[in-house]
Formats: sequence, C-alpha cells, structure tokens
Amino acid sequence: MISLRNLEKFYQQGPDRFYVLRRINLDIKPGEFVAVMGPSGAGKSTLLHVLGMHDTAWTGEYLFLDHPIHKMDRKQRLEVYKRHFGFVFQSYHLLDDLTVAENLDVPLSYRDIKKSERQAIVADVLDRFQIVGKKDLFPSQLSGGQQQLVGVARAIIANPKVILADEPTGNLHSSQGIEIMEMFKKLNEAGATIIMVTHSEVNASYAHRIVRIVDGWIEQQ
Amino acid sequence: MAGLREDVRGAFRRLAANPGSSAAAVLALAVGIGFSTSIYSVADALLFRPLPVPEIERVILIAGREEGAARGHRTIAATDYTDWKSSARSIETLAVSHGFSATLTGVGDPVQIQGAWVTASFFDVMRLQPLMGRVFTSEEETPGRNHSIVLSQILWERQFGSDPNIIGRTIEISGRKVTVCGVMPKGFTFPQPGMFWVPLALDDKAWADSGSFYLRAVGRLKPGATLDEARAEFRALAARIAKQRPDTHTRLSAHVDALREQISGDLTASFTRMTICFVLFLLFIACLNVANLQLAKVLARTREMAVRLAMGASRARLLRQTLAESVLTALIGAACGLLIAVWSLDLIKSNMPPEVERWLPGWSSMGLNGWVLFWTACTAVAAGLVSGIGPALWLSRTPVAANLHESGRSATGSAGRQRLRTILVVTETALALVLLVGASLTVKGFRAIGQLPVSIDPARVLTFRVDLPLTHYTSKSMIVQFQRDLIERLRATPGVVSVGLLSSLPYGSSGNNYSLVTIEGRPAERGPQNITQVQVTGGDLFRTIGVPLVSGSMFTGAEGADTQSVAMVNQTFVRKYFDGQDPVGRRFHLGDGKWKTITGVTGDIVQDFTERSVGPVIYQPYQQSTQGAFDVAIYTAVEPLSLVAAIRQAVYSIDPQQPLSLIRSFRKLIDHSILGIAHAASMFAVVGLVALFLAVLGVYSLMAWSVTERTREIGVRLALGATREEIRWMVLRRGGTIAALSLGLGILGSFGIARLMQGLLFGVSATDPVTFMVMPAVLVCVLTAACLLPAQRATRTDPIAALRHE
Ligand SMILES: Nc1ncnc2c1ncn2[C@@H]1O[C@H](COP(=O)(O)OP(=O)(O)O)[C@@H](O)[C@H]1O
Ligand SMILES: [Mg+2]
Repeated sequence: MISLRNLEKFYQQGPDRFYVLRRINLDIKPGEFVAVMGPSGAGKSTLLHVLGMHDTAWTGEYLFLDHPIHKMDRKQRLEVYKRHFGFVFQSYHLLDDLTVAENLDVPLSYRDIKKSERQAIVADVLDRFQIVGKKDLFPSQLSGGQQQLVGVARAIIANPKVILADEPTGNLHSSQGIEIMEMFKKLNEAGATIIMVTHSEVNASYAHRIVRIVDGWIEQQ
Repeated sequence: MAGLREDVRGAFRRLAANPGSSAAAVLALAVGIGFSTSIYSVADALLFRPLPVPEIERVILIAGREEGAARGHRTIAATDYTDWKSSARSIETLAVSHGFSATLTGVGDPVQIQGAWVTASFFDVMRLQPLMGRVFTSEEETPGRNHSIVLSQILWERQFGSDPNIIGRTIEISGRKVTVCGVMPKGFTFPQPGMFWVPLALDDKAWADSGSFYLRAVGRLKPGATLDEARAEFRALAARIAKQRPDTHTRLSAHVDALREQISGDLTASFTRMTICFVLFLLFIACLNVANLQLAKVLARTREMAVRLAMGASRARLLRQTLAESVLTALIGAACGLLIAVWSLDLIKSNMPPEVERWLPGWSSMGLNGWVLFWTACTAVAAGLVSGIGPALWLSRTPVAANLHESGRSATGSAGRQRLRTILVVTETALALVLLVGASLTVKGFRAIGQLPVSIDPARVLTFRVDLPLTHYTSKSMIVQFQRDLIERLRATPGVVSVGLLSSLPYGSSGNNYSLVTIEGRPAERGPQNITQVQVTGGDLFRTIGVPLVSGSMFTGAEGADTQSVAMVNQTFVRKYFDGQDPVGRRFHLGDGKWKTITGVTGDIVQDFTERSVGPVIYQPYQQSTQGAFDVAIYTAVEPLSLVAAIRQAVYSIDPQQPLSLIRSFRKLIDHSILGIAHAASMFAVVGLVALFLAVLGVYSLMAWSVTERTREIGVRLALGATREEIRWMVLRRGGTIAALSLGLGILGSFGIARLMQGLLFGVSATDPVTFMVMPAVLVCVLTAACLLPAQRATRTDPIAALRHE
C-alpha cells in the first residue's frame, strides 16, 4: 500500500545539511498496524508528516497504492491525502471554539459532502464512539482522554484507509491510553491501516510490527 | 504613591520594549490630539473669546424675526429701541448701531472704511475703556453735536501710522468733518468689521419712526439673568408691541442670541462646532486604535497577568499599570500633537484672505494659548483613559485559574480574545465611515455651490463695489449720472467686453433688498408669499455675468425717469406668480401703486448659497430706481486684474473722491463667499481620510494578529484537509464579517450625522444616494486590501511548524 524508496529529508542550516531522514526504505501493507519507535528527535514525526503529505520538501520515491506521490504537485497530493488519510495528534488539537460535533464536522467540510449527509455521518460517528452525550460540549469541558477520543473520531470521520497517529497517548494516563489503543485495534480490525508513533512498549504491543528510527535511519530487525 | 512612580517607570520600559507598536500608538494619538488642539484654538478665537470684551457671554444681540420663522435676523426700528429700553428688565444696558460705509479722504488715496453709527450706550454695553481719549457722551446723540469719531486700533495704525497725537485731530469721512476723540483697544472690531464709530444722533421724528427697520440692537444681560429669560422677555415684549403698532409690527417677533454665537455668523459657529465633533470622533477612533494595540499587548501578557493575580496582585493595581501606559502614550502623543497643531493652524491662517478675515473677529488673535493647552492636556488624559479601556475590560473579566491551567498559548481557539478586539475595530471602522460620509457630503455640496449656473467663466469677470456717499450725491439724478458715466467710460476702456451694474451680485453678501409685490388684477396681500427680492441693474449685466434671457427683451439702456416704468423678472417669479405663463406685458407694483411693466424674463440664479431654492427676483433699471451702493461686473477680453489701473482711472475721471472696494474677479468673489464651507470641507475631508487610514490600520492589525493567534488552528485545519484557498477564504470571511458589521453600523450612523448636518449642507441632499453608495464601497475596497495581506500570510502557514507542540 505504502512504499518508500530511498527517501531523504534534510534541513539546510547555513552551509550545512542537517539530515532528519536518511535513505528510508519502508513498505506497509493494507490493513497493517505499524508502531514507529525511537528516541526523541529521531525523525518519527517528520516521517509521519512526510507520509501525511504535509511535508513536501524531501527526495526519493513515495508510492501510495502504486501512485507515485513524488511526482505529484501539491494539489494532487492534497487530494490523495483528503481521500485516504486521517491524522491524530499528541496534543489533540481540537478547535476550542467549536463543539465536539462541530469539530467532527471540520474534515467533512473540506471534502465534497452535502450538509445533510455530513450531519448523518457526524451522528453516526458520535454513536460509534459513544460520545453522543458530549456532542454539544466544548473541548475545554472534556478530560484529556475524552478529547483524544474525539481526536481519533475526527481522524476517521472521512473514512480514511490510513490513520497516522503521532504519539496519540503521549499526554494521557495509561488507563486513558489503553482506551485509545483499544479503539485503534477496533479500527484496524475493521480494515484501517494504522501507522502510530509511540514511546510506550505497551502501546507498541498492539501493533503487528515495530519500526525503529534512530538519527533518521531505520534500524533493520 | 511610591507605587505610582514604579508604574510609570514600568510603563516607560514596556513602551520602549515595543518600539513599533508604541510609535504607532503615539502617532495615532498625536494626529487625533493635534487636530483637536488646532480646532480648540479656532473655537477659542471664533466662538469663546472673539472680542476683547469683559464677560462677553453676557452680551446679547436682539433682532427682529418673523413669527414662526426658524432663521433670520431683521434689523429693528427706532421705536423698538425706545420701547425695549424702557421695558426690558433682563438687561442692564441697551444700544443700537447702524452700519456706515464711509470714504476716508485727506489721508493718502481715498479709502472705503466700514464703521457704525452707535448710541453712546454702545461702549457701556461693551464695557470697554478706550486705549486713549474717550468714548461718546449722551450729549453727542443730539443732531448737530455729533462731530466726534472713535477709531479702531487697526484704522489708527494703518491710516494714521499710530499717531500718538491723534486725539483732537480733525479728519474727513464721506465729506463730514469729524474730530477724533478716542481709539479703541486692539482686537475690538464690533460690529464687524468695525473700523470706526460715530455717534448716532436722531431727531425726535426719527426716534418716533416705527416703520423704518435699519438698526441693530446689542445689550448686556443683568447679572444673574439668563439668555432664556431674556428670550422669553423679548418675545413677550415683541408680542405686546405687535398689538400696539399693528401697521408696522404685525407678525414681528424678537429673537435674542448670545453675541459670540452670532458675531461670525451662525454658520461659522455651527461649522466650528461640527468640526469639533468631527475631530473628537477622530480622536475617539485613534483611542480605539490604541486600545486595540494595548489589548494585543496585554493579551500577550495573559500568563504574566494570571501569575501576578495568583500571587496576590489586585486587579486594580494591574489596571493602574496598564492605564499608566496608555496615559503616558497619550501624553507623548499630545506633545507630538502640538507640532501638528502649530503646523495646521499656520495652514488654516495662511489660507484666509484678508477680505474674509475682517468679518471674523478674533481670527488674528488665534493661536495656542493657555486655555487651549489646558484643554489639550485634558483631552490627552481622557484619550489615555479611553484607550486603556480594552485592557481594563479584559482584566475585569479574565479568570485567573483558566490562564494558569492551560499552557497559556496552546489554545487553538481564541474567540473570546478576538471578540473584544473585533468590537473595538468594528466601532472604529463604523465611525470612520460616518466621518467619511459627513465629509464627502460637505465636499460634494461645496463643489456644487461653487459652480454657478452661468454661461461665462467667472474668472474672466472683474467685480468691485461702489458706495456713493449720500453727503455728496444728494439727488437721484446725480447718482444716475454717475452710473451712466461709469458704464460709458468702462465700456470705452480697452480690454472691456461688457459692463453691468447690480445692487448685489450673486454671492456678493452685501445685503439684499426685499419688497411686497402686487400683481395687477389681483388683490394686494401682505404676507411672506408675496415678498420678492428687488435688484437694480444697469448696462449689459445679464450678458456680463452669463445669465440668459428666457423671453421678452433686455433693458435698452434708454429707460429714464419719465419713460414707462419697466422691470425684468426671473423664472421663479414667473412660476410663482404667473403659473409659468409668459408675463411679458403684465404689470405689478411694489406697494407704492406705481405700475411697472414686465419686459423680459431672465434665467434663475442663486443669490446666496444658503438659499435652498431660488426665490423670485425683480430687476429694475437704474434710471428708474436709484441706489447709490452697487456692484459692478466687467467681462474682460484680457486678464481681469490687469484692468484695475485703467478702471480706477475711469472712476477717478468721474469723481476723484470716489474709492472702489472689493476689487476681485467674480470667481474670487464666489470663492470668498464660500470660504467658510471650503475650510470646513477640507477639515472634514482630512479628518475623514485620517479616520479611514486609522480604521484600515486597525483592521489590518486585528487581522494580522488574529492570523498569528490562529496559527495552530490554521495548522490543524490544513492537516485535516483544508486547501490554501479555503484558508484564505476563512480569513477573508472574517474580514468580511468585520466589514459587514462596520458597514451596517456605519451606514446607520451616517444617516444620523447627515441629519445632524442638514442645516450645514448646501448644494447637496443630506441623503445623497451617490455618497451613501460610494463611501461604503470605498470602505469595502480599502478593508479588503487591508485583509488580503494577512490572508495571504495565513495561506503560507506551515502546518508542521504550527503543530509542533514541544
Ligand atoms: N524546521 C526545522 N529546522 C531544523 N531542524 C528541524 C526542524 N524541524 C525539526 N527539526 C529537527 O528534525 C529532527 C527530527 O524531528 P522530529 O521528527 O520532530 O523528531 P521526533 O522523532 O521526536 O518526532 C529533530 O532533531 C528536530 O530538531
Ligand atoms: Mg515527535
């Protein structure tokens, strides 16, 4: 499904190039649940942003469902991203001025979906995540675990094939973390491909496979 | 108070730490305060202390006014003076005056000087001691014993070189020998332009004449009496007199005004007041702008404030800190504003031609004085407090705990913080629109009234005024002879195309004559509907000033005292009295039973820009209705002013003693008469544009700040699939909301200000649709431009950088 070949990324710092990702070769099959681990500053988030196409300044090849992403312009990449990806952030990043239901609606509003349909989808997801009672609350009225649950719900609302999650439980108690991981497990069983950055071995144990990154290099098992 | 010094020091430090935004705040306030200071100076000179008269607020003008009329000040009859003097309780002294346009001869070239006949009580009302010599005694009010003259300081200086031995010297004015008995102090020029005073000496018959209205009354209120009391008393008095003298005083009431309100004309007072309004609005906008900048700074210090509060600082203390900063900013702004004030006052003064200036007492003494500086200081402190309002509101609402809990700036939402700033900016922008509409209405009206509907270029017409002294020109035939000679000699002057005489040229502001008209075959009715303006004309007046003949024919020039009495009328006259039917050949009289036959109809022309519509006018030939004071208009083939010497020569050859006054082109005459409006219009325009600039600055800084504030939100939205276009629209939509709110409020406010200004708008409707469409459109364009840059910056947000949470 995803195939990275010789992918490299660096930051230019004065005359020097500071490499963040080096010769990354990575294959991820449909339905896989992959955990990305490594020390802080290793390049995990960077890799996730490259996969999520927020980052376009890299070299190498990136094939997604056999489409060459590296040959696409920004618009086309955004289209692919919108159709196939969902993103979960460590610090949730819910929009504070919007209610839970409105937050869930945000990704849909950026896709070509009719208003009535959007309402139905939001209602359905609220139901699936058992947060119907919270739909009119604002993020500040929720606990961290509940906020991240909304974050996950928001990531999957547009029905993506791939979920990218950057330390989704990093700000949570372990018990809250487990709740989120159980949710990921369910989503994975339902067919979603999940790529998740984590520092926790417990959380990593939910994954089928662990990819370790150190200083921008993928460690071979 | 030790804390206060600390607060001020802290305020200084914070201002210095943020030089860009501090400079912007100081500049905005400097402009607002600077304009206020200069308009305070104008108001102080024109409204509050126009004359060096003690307790000027107690000096009142009493005039006649038709019952029920809203405007108008009529001169009064001699009997009114005696009636009022014996009955009025609210005043301690009363005086009357009568304008005297005299020719001063024997000191260099003959010059026209304007002064007044006054009763001896005049100087008691003014409570002025002469600079030297004495004022009049009541004996001098007797005919035959009135040989004294009091000079104004300016006449003494200009014509007599400040001669210290002037007292007792005999001079000649309009053929009368008079002895100088006193010189008044500098700046005293009432009634305008007040260059000299001679005793008003009437015989018993003249004092008993209730049918000639030619005097102006001025009085001094008794201590403790109010203007309203005087108004009520004189109204009652006038009602009684109207019953006692039904022949002459029916429907005539009396109107009382404070001297300072009327001395420069009621329009000057109203315009000055309106300008103060405009400038204070501008200052308020500047304050809102600064409030916004301050609020942004305080919001950036949210966490610091929360920590201070948590450590036990009182809100009052924090409030004092931020207010100290605002007031300090305003005081620095005021200091810079003084420079702006000095500069703009210079500009205002240098643009005032002397012909107009002499009608504005106090103008020459205008400048920054103690009072003005005092008001400026008050304004600055008030502005500082008002601009501290944003932070004050915020401080009174912000909860401590929430700001400590959250990571201070992690919030992706900022609706609450944005709302306050948005309110400030919307108010500011709405006010700017109000000022813009007010300004453009005035400017549009000004341009309209400056364009007379005449077929010639007013710049090619030379005009001047002749005032033949009745002491020399003792018979009508002498005056007619002078006028006939004048027309002939002027026509013969090389470069002159045509010559015309008229009692009072349009916009000439030398006073108009009105009369009751009775049309042949209709009952004589007394009433305002039958009052028409009467002009006396000679030469080719209509051709000279470009007014068309609509039907009939022009005067031939061969009219005479013993030929048929004829008249021309304007189109309004025809519409009003003949239903638009051709009136040529019909007859009317002016209350004296002498029938005049209409021989021609001319196009309409406004006599005075304050007329809302043209009134009916009758033109009579100078040979049949004689007037010794008249305007002359000359259409020239060459540059008009190049003919001045030749024209002086022509007049000299008829009467070497006769001066000319107000020599200028017709264009200048028009421009001078609307100069007050020009001043107001340019002041309003500058204020409006500065307001617009400040509003744009406000919107821009709000949008820029809000984009920064929403960086994370924008990052999240980008990560959730928003396109750059969608982000741009999101920002622009916010700008649109601000624009829509301001526009709504602003248009409402604009209708308000237009209504308020109605009495001051000439040549334009207060609801002029073009202005009300164009100005909002201008605002929208400018606001869009102000939002584009921040919107563009928003689209360049890097989601990865925006979302980095470490
Ligand atoms: N804009 C940038 N300029 C330079 N270096 C950067 C920039 N963004 C990230 N880095 C560096 O890239 C490296 C990888 O970062 P990241 O992918 O966030 O690490 P992590 O594995 O902790 O998620 C870090 O060393 C970081 O300092
Ligand atoms: Mg990371």
